[in-house]
Amino acid sequence: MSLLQVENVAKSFFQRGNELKIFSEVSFAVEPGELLLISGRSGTGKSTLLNLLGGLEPVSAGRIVFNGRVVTDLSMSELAELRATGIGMIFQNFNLIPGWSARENVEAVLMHRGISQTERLQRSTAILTELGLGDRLHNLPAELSVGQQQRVAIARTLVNDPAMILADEPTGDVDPETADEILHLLLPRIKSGRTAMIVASHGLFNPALATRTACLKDGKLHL
Amino acid sequence: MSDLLICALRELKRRKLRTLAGLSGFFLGCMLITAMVLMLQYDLQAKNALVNYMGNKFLAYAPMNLIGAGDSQTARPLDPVNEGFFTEPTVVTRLLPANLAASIAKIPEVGVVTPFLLYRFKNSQDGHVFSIGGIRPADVRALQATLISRHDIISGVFFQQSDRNVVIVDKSYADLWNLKVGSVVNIGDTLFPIIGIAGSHARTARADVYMNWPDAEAAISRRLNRPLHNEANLFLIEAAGAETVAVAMQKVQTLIEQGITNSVVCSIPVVKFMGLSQNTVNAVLVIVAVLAVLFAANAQWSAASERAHEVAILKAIGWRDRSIFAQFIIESLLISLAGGVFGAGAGYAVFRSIARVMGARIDAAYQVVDVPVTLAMLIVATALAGIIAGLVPAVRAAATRPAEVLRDL
Repeated sequence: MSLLQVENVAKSFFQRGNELKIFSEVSFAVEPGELLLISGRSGTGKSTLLNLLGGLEPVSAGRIVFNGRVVTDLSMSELAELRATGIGMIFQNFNLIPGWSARENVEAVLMHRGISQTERLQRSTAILTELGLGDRLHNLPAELSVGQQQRVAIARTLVNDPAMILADEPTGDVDPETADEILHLLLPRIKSGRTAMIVASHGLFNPALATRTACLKDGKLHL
Repeated sequence: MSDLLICALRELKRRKLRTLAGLSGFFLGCMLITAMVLMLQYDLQAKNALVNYMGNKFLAYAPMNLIGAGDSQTARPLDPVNEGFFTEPTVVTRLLPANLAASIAKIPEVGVVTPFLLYRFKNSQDGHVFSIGGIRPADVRALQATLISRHDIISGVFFQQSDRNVVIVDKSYADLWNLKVGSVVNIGDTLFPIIGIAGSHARTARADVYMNWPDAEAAISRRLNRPLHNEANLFLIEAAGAETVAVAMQKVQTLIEQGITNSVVCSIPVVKFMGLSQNTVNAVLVIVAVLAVLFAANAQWSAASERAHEVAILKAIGWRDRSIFAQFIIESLLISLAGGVFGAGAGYAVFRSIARVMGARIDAAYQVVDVPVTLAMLIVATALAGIIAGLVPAVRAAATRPAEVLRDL
């Protein structure tokens, strides 16, 4: 069984009573160690698809199965648990909490899960140090460069060692050099088979790095 | 729980101004309520003390019908123009069996009762008229409640049960005739040394000279056509409570043929007034509490709005709805609890200051006995107000749809 199976998923929004179809009949599977690049123009629904996979939004139709669990059948609480343990998300604009330090942002993922504060601090410090931010633990996001902020966001995702990473334009807002750095942090984990990654990008992500590519266009996913 | 507390403390520390604003709100609210509650409680207690002191006391007697009244058994003064059994102001009274006190005491609404002999005497030397009161010192509680006790003695001592041929005089009478402890009083041509002077203050009944019951009986008997046989002309009564005084008076009256009961103060209106005060306290408290909760809820609502993005991020990285909900509640609780603790302390200080400025006595006699309990209750109430105030914003925060909020950025 695949790590992730997406079966005939459709998503629509309703605006003033009118249905706005984003995409439909989206089906694909992802295996551990795979990097799937989903490309497409802005507004085609790439971010929405990632949100569906992460359980942040409900599907309009279809089914998503992750690690043998039907994500589309899970309760809000179970979905939260899934995001906290199995699926990590990297957002285009980092989505760090502005008032929290780098370490607190990373530690947040480990809270409310019965992990002691000591362990939380150890793990968040270790991952930030691994990503080259050992001397920036107590800095607020605003005190970090864009590249450093993105590394904090990646650390927040990796601190859980998730089976799958959903990344929305992970290199979209950074310069090529920083993008390169970020990819060098993520790719070894994927290649080792510890995790799989789905990247949504409108062209800024190097397709050569992906094991597979797909294109979201005209409401359909073209593999 | 510890995670919630860590996060809550971190948040409160981080948002210093908002925390300070919330804390100030609860602090001021709790301080005002505390000061008001203590002042009103003190006020009620003072009124209660007044009512308890005067409002639940009354006397019972039977007036004499002078025209054609009396039979051969009736005790008649030898000098009916100047002497006789009476009660104030000028009611001539009949004698009743002193053991009627036992029947009166059985009425549930009656607290204590004691018989009293009140007789007007004419001094044989200078002709001035004065009153003597015969009391039973053994009725300690009843005497303390209605007439005189050792607490009323301003010089000398109070009666021992075995004391004979000594008297205690009322201060006003002592002042009038320049009497002191050790002076003597002429009662029916017998001299009685004074062993104590009693303060002149409002009582259910009063006499110029107080005597032990056997001495009074003997002195009065010498001025009647027949000796007294364990009889009294007044019964001094304290009702079980200020609220039951009316019923007690009614029931006592039924035990005495053509009897009259007479309250010395308007106890029933006072009781009603106290009820009004209590209702005012409750109403004021409810209004202030509602205002405090609304104020706090508004502040928390604003905080929830400001933090929508942060909440969306936390939910996106795996925080459950209940964690978000609990987070907001704990923050609100911490603010309200801190505000409550400091507010209650400050409120108490304000109350003491106002009491001092107004010259109110806060001592053993007018003690605000429930201070610790009242303060504890106010702190708990403030903390509860914080929880209530945090409920709606917490529900709102927990219901945040992360995808929508993050998409809107």
